[in-house]
Amino acid sequence: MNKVKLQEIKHSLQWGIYEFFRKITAPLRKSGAAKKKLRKSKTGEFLFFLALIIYPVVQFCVFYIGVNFNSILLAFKTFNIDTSEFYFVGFDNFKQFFYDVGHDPVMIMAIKNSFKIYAVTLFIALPLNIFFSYFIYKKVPCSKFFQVILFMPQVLSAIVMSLMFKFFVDRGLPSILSALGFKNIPAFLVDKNTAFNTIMFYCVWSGFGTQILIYSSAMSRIDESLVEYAKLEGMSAFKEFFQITLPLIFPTMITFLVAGIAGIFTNQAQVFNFYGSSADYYLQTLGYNFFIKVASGDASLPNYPYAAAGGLVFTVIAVPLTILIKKLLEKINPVTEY
Amino acid sequence: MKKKILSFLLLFVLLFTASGFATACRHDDGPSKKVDPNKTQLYVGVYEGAFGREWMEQLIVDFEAVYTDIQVWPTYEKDLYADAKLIENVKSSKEDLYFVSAITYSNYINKEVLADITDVVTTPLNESKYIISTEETKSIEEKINNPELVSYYNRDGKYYALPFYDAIFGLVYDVDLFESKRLYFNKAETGFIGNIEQPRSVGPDGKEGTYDDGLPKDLDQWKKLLDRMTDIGIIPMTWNGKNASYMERYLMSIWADYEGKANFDLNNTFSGEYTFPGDSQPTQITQENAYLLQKQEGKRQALSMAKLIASDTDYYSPNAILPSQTHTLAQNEFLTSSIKNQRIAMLVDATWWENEADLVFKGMADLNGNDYARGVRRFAFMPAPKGEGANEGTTLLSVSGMSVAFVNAYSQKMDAAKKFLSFAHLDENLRKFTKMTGVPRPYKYELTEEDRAAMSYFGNTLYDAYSDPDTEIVFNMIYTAPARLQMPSYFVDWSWGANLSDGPTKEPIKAFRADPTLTVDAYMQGMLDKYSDWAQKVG
Repeated sequence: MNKVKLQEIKHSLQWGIYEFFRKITAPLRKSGAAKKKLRKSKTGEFLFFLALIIYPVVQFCVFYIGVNFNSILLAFKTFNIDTSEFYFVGFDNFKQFFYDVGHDPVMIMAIKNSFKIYAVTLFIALPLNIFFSYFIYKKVPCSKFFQVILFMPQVLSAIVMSLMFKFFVDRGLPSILSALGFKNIPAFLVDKNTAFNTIMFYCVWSGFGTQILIYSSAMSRIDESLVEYAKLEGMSAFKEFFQITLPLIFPTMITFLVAGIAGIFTNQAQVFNFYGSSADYYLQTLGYNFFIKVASGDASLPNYPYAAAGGLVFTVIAVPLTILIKKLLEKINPVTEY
Repeated sequence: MKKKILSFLLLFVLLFTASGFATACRHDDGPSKKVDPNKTQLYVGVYEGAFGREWMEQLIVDFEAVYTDIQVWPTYEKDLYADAKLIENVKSSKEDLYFVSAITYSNYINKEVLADITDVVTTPLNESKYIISTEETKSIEEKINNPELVSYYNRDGKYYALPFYDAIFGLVYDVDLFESKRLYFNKAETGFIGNIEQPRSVGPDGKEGTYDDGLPKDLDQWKKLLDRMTDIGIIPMTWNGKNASYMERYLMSIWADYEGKANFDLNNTFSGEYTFPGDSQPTQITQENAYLLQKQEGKRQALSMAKLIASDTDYYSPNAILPSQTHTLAQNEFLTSSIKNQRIAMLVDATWWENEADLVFKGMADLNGNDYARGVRRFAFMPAPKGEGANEGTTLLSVSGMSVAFVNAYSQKMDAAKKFLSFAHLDENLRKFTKMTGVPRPYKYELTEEDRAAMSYFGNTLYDAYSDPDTEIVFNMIYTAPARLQMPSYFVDWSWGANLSDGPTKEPIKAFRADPTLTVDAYMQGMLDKYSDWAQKVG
């Protein structure tokens, strides 16, 4: 073999190897670009998503997790009036809190009122909400009217509504009753016998809107075929409500019932809207009592640790109670998908 | 068509709500001037309360006329300048100094947000480097009219703030009505005067020829006055039913006036001695037994007044007890009663009330003539009823002991701020404040005849009572007792909180109204019962 031939063979081999490796690595080269493109596109999406949620997440971390963590620590501290700093005192605030629960008439009154409000919400407001929602769902005569009246408190600002209600009850209603010939008309928002009941009435009325909206919505999702079946079977509206509607909206009810448990300790019952920080003791709930300790004109830093301790106790009670109630209710009527 | 109408309505609603943003935008109604970059820009935070803005605007004009290298820009706020909020915001705010209604002084000092203004306060004004020219030889410290304020604001020889104003709480009465209906007691105190020229009784202060001549001196005369008023178709009084503190403070003013300064101040200091009724020896009051102060006789006097008022619904306006009765509605009701069927003779309020009711005065003058204008109608300060054993002399309740003027410790224009603060405390500017607002400032200064002529009748009578050498001023919120500072929520209803048989209460008039059989003794016992856990809580 002469030299030229050898050179040709060498070149062919080199070229062949080169071609071989190019062919092997061709997919990798192609997917790298695609991957880069894909990576770029996913990064862009990720950055967009991050830009949307970073602010609320940071806010949540700071104003919920951070604040609540600080509140937990605060429950074990007290305020030094000489240095204006908080320092640890162990369980002193809790001891004081439990003492008040047993001995302080103001705290005892607030606890009673809080449970009163809850009982009214549970046994009066809830049935009424479902009742009116069913009315609206069934499109009975005047259902639109009820829809407007019951939803109005949700549309207007809570302060505006309570102001209007306050003036009506204080001045308008007594005038009307007097014109109708009634005597000895009480000052509904003042007299001990009527004031808290009037507040409870307002709470029930102003709470209708959201619940009616949600219950009506839940009812409207009930399969039409079930309703038709009920009609064909000759079921009355009353029977239909208890045998079809109520079981199917029970999961929605569970949500409100469970949320109501936590609300026992935080519900102000709109007392601040009516009376500011001046509500007399017989009107106070736990929510109101603790609110004015930290956020009214009489609020001051030394009140914070006690309020934090109270809040922690409420949480320790409310969390397991909420979970227990939820489990019990789900056992009564397991979650239904429809 | 329906869609179009709905769209139009929706657009209207959106535009309407959007217009609210424009009106809600805050802009300072200060003097119209442009920023001069060659001058120091000074920012002043002012509590927007009952005084209006006129006094600050005038102060700024006068200051800039003298200090031509400084421009002052006021910011008026209310809620943002509340105690607990302001302390967090001062550090990052642009305001160089503040005039606010209440701060917890020690907290602000500990947080180091108050500048040391000792040099402003203790240097004689004519020697002060912050004052260009004055003939005043006293320092601001020497001008403070109440030694209690001096000891409160002086911390280890240093000052970090100055007291701002004195809001005296009490009862305002309609002088024109009292004169036209001859509601003054005659000199012999056998009844009311027959005509306006007839000599009047000496009044609660026991001195003839003073501002309180003919006014009821004790609860017996009060009963007679209230009955007289209702007999001739007048509603005796009205008040702010929404805010329980108004009636609370009025009753406190009666309590303070009965006890006198030394005894009343025990409630703030928990240190001193007090002779309880029936005791021959005084009891040493300390933090361990201060709950005994619930038995002070002045409280009985005030509760007796509360029971008297509550005993007959004709003694007060039916609106007075309602939560919808705000302070402005009460003022409106009081003032406009003069053009309605039934007059109202008295209003529970404080020294600022005429400023707050300014619009009502203007409205009434516009509609009914100048006779109803502010300064033309005559109102005066009604002294508290005395009783047996009451302190001689007048004790007035100031509810603004914590109101201050201070310089922001983080201000970059300390020099300019101190100049403004010093200037605001010259006599002429203290006088202008009182002349324009009718509210006294807690300093020693005298109003000129010209100042008095510009003030309303009410402003003048109040100033007479306030500046009387025999008058003492007490404060409801300047506490030095450690327990009161450490446990504010325990003491928040120290004045009238009581555990009664049918539950706790803090409003005597409502309690007596709800249960007419409730006695003053029972209420007093209820106040003691409220603090039955003293040993456990306070120690």
